[in-house]
Amino acid sequence: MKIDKLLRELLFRKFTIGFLQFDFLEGLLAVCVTGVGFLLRTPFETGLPPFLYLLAEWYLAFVSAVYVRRATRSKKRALVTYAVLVILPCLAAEGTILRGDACLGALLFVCALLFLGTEGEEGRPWLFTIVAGGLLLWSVRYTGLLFACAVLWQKRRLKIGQLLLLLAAGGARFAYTYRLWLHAGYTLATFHWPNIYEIIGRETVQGQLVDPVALVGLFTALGLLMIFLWLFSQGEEEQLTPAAVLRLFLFFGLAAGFLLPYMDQSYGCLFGVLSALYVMLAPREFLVGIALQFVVYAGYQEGFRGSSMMPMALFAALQLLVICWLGVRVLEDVTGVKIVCRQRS
Amino acid sequence: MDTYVREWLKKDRHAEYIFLLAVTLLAVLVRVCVRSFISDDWIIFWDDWLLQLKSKGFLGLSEDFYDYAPPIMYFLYLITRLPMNYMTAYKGVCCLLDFAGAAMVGALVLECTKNRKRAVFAYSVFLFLPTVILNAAVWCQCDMIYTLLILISMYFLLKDRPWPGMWFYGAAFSVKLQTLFIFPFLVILWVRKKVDLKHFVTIPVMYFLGILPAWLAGRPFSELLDIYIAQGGQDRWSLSIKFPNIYQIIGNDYFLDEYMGAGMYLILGILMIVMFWIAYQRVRVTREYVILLALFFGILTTYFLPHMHERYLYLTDAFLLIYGMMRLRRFPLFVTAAFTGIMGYSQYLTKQTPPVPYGVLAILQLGILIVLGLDLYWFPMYEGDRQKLDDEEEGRIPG
Repeated sequence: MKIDKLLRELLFRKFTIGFLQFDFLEGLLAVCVTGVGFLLRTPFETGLPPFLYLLAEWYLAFVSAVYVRRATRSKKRALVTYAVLVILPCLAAEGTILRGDACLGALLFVCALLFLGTEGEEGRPWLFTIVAGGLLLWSVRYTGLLFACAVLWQKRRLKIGQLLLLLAAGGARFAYTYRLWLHAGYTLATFHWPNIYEIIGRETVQGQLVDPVALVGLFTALGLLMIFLWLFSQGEEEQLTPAAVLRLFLFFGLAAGFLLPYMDQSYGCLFGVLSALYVMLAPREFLVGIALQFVVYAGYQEGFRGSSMMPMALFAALQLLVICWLGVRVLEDVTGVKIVCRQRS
Repeated sequence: MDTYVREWLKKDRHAEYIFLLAVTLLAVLVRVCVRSFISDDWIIFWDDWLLQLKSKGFLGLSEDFYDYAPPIMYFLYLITRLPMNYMTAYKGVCCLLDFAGAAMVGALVLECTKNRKRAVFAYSVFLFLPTVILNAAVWCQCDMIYTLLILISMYFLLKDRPWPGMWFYGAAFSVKLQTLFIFPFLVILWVRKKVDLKHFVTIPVMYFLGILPAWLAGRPFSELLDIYIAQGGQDRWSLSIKFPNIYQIIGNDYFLDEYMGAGMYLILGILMIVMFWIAYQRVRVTREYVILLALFFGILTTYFLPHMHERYLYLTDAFLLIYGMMRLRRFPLFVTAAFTGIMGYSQYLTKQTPPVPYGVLAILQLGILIVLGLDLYWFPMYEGDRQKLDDEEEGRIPG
């Protein structure tokens, strides 16, 4: 029929607005999924969702799409990234439901990634340093990223001045925060973030000057991160692909949060976003993305519900598996040695 | 004698017919044996509705005591006309449909694989699928009605006969809202030029024809139009009613109203992304692809939609069996799905908490969804190497 032919052709017809060229179907998805993303947030509000968070979440989706577009040169992947992030449950949970600031942190970090540049593209490392340094000063939950930056310095993506600035920012925040937290008398070692304390027991030791478990956890985190930093700096000073860079940030970020005490559910927001980007850059690693979405949302759902439907230790174990997998893959990236056998394509 | 029997069995597929007869008789026997079980649904709903229809006759349909689609009520009305025990009659008719459904499953497998042995196997397995036996013969449910109509619809669609295919789909929609779980696959078929827009007119037409007698009996037209919307508003006490989906992992008893809306928008967004991706897929639309599409969308939507019941995988179980017969290495998925499906039935019928937590079942279900998603994602490449894979499955090593 004529109308069928017309509509089918319309779906794939190219339109140009300014410098932007797109198929009708691409435009349709962008518009519809933006609407759905808005509607997804409305059931949690009596009125309209909070404008600031809505804007931040939308802009984060947009910036992430730009990053994927630059990294993959694929318009469709970029659009799917945008669509996925607009409806990503952990983002809605962090911004719209909790009014948490981690979605703003995620937005700033993805902007920093854009400044870092992608493969074969000249980045703006000073801008990256300023934004990432700001993040490190802002919250201790970004400490793990500092170690990834150190590996990037070894790979000549950053200069020594930039690394020292980041170290100063991250170190100052870390020391300041934990000096307060360790003496605050918290009764729990984790606040809804499924990490090692969900496996060994999250109740802290009371009646002591400092909780020994949290203190040991803190130094174990630092020690292990240093060991991994040394390990990943052994390879040649070769260029890392955008997927490898994301892997690096995911590994160090998650590994730090897995051991550091007193982390809350918002810790996962950035890594929920990064895992979505990672899957777009390395589709074969989709299981990492799916697993991390469950891990991250598990923290939020326990926060909302007060208790978890499934044991949080299960999500913590799942996260540990993901960290191990990412660690092996990072080691492959930096040493060039294939450790894991690939399946046939 | 021995040689004669062996020869006779080999001749004219006698062994196959004897096997089919034996399986069918056994399937009848098991259903006859469990016919006296009285389920809660029978006591609370069906018995009451049948008594109302018996006392008030066809004009009883003008009242609002029922919340099922009117065609089911016509079916109940016909039951009241039969000179036998209502429950036996009801179960008897539904069980007959079980056999028709099994025959359709067999026919679809035959159509897709051209392999009679696989078709016979699928027919037999479907008849002895615990959820199929329990659904009609024990629970007094009628999910077979819409499943059968969908299977017939699929048969015609695979035969490139869109009109009868869509009429049957429309008929299925007029019986149960659950038909919509697989609706996105029809949109993809439209994009792939397998159906046209004009064929979609069958859905509202069949729905209208379905409610027409009830309207003539006196029930307000607006109420009849809203019957599915009213159904959507029920069961707000849990986000998942013994159904292995995401709410069994993130919690099914909190944010009830919020997650109801958000869950629907979330699946809408997911469907948009998936359909967008599939629309750009360069793929030859084979029978296997069509079955896979329907199956994938059926499992995907139910995994994220709130308020799903334990019975809502009935249709996808049938498609999973067909798919498992087409790609034998996927048959374990069907076994897993049968296992996850039976837990909800078991809890409903025995009133005992199942030994395996629903969260674990939800993870298994997620595994099935991921494998099917990957099959769909890799389908273009898989198709290119089709002959080799078929040979591998059959145990033939290409030279």
